[in-house]
Amino acid sequence: MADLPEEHFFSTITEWNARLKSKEISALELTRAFTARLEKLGPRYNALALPLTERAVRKAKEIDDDIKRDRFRSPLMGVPFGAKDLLSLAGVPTTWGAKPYAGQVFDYDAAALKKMDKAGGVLIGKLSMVELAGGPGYRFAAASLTGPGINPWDRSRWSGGSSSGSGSAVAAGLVPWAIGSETSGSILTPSAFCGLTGLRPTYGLVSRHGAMALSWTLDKLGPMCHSAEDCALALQALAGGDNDDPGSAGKSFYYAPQFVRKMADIRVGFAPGDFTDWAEPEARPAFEKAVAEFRAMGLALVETRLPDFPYGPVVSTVMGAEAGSIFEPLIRSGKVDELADAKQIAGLKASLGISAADYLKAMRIRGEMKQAFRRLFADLDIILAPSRYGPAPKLTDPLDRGLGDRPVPAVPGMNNLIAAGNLVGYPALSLPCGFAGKLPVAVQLVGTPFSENMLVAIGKLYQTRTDWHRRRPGT
Amino acid sequence: MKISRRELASLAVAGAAAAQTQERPPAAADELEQARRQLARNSEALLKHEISMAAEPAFQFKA
Repeated sequence: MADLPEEHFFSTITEWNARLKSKEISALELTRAFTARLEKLGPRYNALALPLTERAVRKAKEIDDDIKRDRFRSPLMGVPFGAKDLLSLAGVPTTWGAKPYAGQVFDYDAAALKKMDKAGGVLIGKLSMVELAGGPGYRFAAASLTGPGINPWDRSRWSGGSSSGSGSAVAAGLVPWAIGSETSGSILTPSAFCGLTGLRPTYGLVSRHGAMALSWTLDKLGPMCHSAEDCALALQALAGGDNDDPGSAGKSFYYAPQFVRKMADIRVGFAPGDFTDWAEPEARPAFEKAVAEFRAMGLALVETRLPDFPYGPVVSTVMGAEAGSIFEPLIRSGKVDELADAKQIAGLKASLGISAADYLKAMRIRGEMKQAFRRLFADLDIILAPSRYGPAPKLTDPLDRGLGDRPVPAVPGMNNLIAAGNLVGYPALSLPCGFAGKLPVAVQLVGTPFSENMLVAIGKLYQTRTDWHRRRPGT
Repeated sequence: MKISRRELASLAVAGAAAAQTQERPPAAADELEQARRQLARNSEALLKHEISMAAEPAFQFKA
């Protein structure tokens, strides 16, 4: 392994960019250091689906030629990164984390990877994931071709899903940042469990061409990083209209580091019960401190609650019906039985029985949800809530046990915010905010469509006042 | 009616086997049944939600 100081492996994109520009390190040296580390430690966390060392070295040499001539394409130029193994890369396996697709090879690159190539990013590995990005539901962390995602903060804990490898790899300093995907929680959850800053962009902002489809109307790609600013820099490179993605919003994202709006003018909705009664007891002190910090930043916190909708049944019906249609050949061929998780297998088989009437009803309710959210956000700029109510569960814990042995709290909470936010296509930023025992916990900020610059500005300010995003696990 | 010890033993084994089959169906079938029950619960929850006849689905067909 190249002899970089251990703490350097946890540097931000901005810091690597400065070192590359000042020629303190070359892109090739950086790439060799991270590829060696990813290959050595990736298997320790079941994070690595496929190393891409040779092509990464070729790319790094090409980047160094540009740097020698002072040609800088973007702040990501020369910085290594990893991608969830649901993004196609020509000529190498793209497994979708699932045994039936273990030998699948595409002859084209996903749009997101093409964009990163153009920006000068160095892809050093495909990262593990929950099989089929979780499909219509799974029960155990082991629901993956590569085994359960292991959390670098505690190897007996899960790294979260479905972007498990992206979470573990960034948290363990095996890649500076990674691309994840979210249909309903798959960026926010591993970011929260692994102590990362993760950004779920507005639906349609990042092209999904070449990414495995789980649910056409819910799927999104986004960055998982060490800081809010890194998320913005990565999103700037990833975003943009694409005629090959029917869900594309046709918009770009330009990071505005000089966000001018006063914090006191930003109205933040929250449900106090989320941070007390709904939160797991060991996580409450961290959440309460986070709320206090946001108040101290000058943000105007106001109590609110989500509009009343059957979020769970709607997201389950939409995701199930779309996944059932997408994976119908897998289900009917019987190869679905090769998947690792019995609940996932059963869920996919059952999904073929979702009626058109139910799917359309769910989509009509979703239309009403969008209107209700527009009304809610007429008086708010963002919503603040815990990303997850507690830290990462044990690797052997069933993941579908809800609050476990705890009774449902009597006070209102936004326990459906992940489903709701995904159903209406709003962006969210997950920020580490402390620890429950030795495990990280996080809060999420949810904003209106295309308000990523505001989310990042608030996240960046929070991260200048706290150092939770700078904490790192022992590897 | 006289029942030999061997007949009694075979009856007991058959009974136990039948009971086991009834109480513990194969895991895959059980999972599938659970998944279908969940879909039925989702369907009921959607049905309970009153919606305006004017509400269109949240997707657009573009010609």
